Amino acid sequence: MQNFPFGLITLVVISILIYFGIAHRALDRLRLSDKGALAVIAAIIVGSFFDIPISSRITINLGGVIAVGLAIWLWIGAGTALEKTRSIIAAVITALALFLAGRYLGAEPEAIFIDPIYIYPIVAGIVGYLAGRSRRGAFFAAVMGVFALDFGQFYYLSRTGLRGVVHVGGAGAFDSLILAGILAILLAELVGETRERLQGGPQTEGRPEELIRNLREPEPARKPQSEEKREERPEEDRNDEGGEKDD
Amino acid sequence: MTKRISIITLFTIFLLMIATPVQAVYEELGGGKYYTLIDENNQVIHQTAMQVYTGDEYIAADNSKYRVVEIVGETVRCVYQGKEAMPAVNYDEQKQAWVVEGDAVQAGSGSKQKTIAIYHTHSDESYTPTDGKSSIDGQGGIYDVGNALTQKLTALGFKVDHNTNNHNPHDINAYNRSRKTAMTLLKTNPDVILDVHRDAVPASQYQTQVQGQNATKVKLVVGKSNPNQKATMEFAKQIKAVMDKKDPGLSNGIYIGKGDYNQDLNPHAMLIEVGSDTNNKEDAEKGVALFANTLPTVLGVSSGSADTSGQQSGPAAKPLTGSNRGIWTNILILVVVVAAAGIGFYYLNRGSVKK
Repeated sequence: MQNFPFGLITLVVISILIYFGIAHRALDRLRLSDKGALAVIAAIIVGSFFDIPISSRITINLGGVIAVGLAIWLWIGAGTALEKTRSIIAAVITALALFLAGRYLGAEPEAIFIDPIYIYPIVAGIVGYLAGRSRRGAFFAAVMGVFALDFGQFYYLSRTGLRGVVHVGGAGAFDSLILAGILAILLAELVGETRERLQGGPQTEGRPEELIRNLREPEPARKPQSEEKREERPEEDRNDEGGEKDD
Repeated sequence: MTKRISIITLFTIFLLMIATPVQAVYEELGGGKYYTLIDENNQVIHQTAMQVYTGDEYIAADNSKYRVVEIVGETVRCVYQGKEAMPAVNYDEQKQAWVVEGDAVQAGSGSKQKTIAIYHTHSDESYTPTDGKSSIDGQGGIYDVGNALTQKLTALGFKVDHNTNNHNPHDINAYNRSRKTAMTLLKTNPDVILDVHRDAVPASQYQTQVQGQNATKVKLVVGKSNPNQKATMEFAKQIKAVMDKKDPGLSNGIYIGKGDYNQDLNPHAMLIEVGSDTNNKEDAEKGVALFANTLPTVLGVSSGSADTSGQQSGPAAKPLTGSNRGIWTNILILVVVVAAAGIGFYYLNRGSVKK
């Protein structure tokens, strides 16, 4: 790549920045802090460079393993037993859907074909969201569903005795596993947020007061001032400040 | 009410954005079936076993560009779009080499030996007349074609990284598996990464004579679901332009289909179809060796000197010209799409709770 012309280098750099920017934005919506999401992305990128041979048939990529680890960590921390069960069901359905798609979609010319790269997040995002109406559920279903596909190939190679190695999470930060997880979160968010907006905002009935408070649009930021000062200077006055300066 | 309409509109736009790649895939028809592309006068333009969709495009060997408008069974109706502008390739007397105008990789700008990475997503693809079958699970004749390409490129002075991983079964998930291989290959920073395939159409579609000897044609495939599409397209056009100058008759055009083909991973990732399952493998090996001959020119090095370490000669670096615009357009599109999506998400996340 060092021999690429400037335009191509810019394209590659911008694509990577956008990808990681979106990844950060997506992971941020899980049970991770801003810095936590950044740390996970950094770990995935660094981990991508390490392939660990497990047997003559299996090699795992550290970057891919971190994503699987994150999915499991989120699952362990799920609020209720019901959420955990739903996530597992979603992951199983996703894996099954992907397996069946691989098995049967390719043969019939009239069938609707789906690009391999995009089928995972779309299936996992929809199933994950429907099963738990949760971004975490969608992420878990996507990552574990794609992860299961690698075991499908392992079974296929073992059964047929063909040469070949299964590279679990082998494309590191750009593996379908991670792409699927990130896009599934965004899809769940898109569907979820759109649905909430259409109904006029998130449902508040029977929800804890703190949650409702946090869901409300934040007040515009103001400089910390004492109550008295704020009363003395009504908002209109402050807005006029620094007003029109003709050239 | 206005807010509700705008939300529905926004959601529809998002769905359309998502739905576009949903239709996209690279798959073969199988069972000896293939698509025949015809123009407005019912003349056959091309045949392919790749899944064809309305909106796909094909740049024929003579640079005529067609757009798929209707698919009835295995017949594909296309409309002529005019001649596609190709990069100029001229013979430089001083350097005694062909030179691509525009932004071909410039020689002397790097100190390392040029590297070409090769892999095969469809590990079973074979050539019936030579291999006995069109598909051999896990070790198709396509690997021999990869070997022929490797030998020729090595002889030309390139460093070649030929990965022979098995990505079978040949199903919808094959690209998921080969993606891992492509990423592994990209870690060594290759100048070009090639996914070598063969088509599945009647032999006549690919059979050719180049410099008086039998060979198969080579087709380039560019994926539209790939965010680097414009850059990949420029690269494909450079390769085709050089093929047409150096070995007329070798190119079987450029197919622009819905798919990704791992081309999002690198702007110099190219899918090539070397002959068909009905051609002789030896002819495919000759075809791919001739294709290898184009890469020194595309990458801006003289034949036999792809190792540029310490080398000062070679085509002079050129100012960026017209063909580079595609890449900047690509960058602009990416930034605009991301900004639009960002604003959309911001808007969706705004608003208060239900009263």
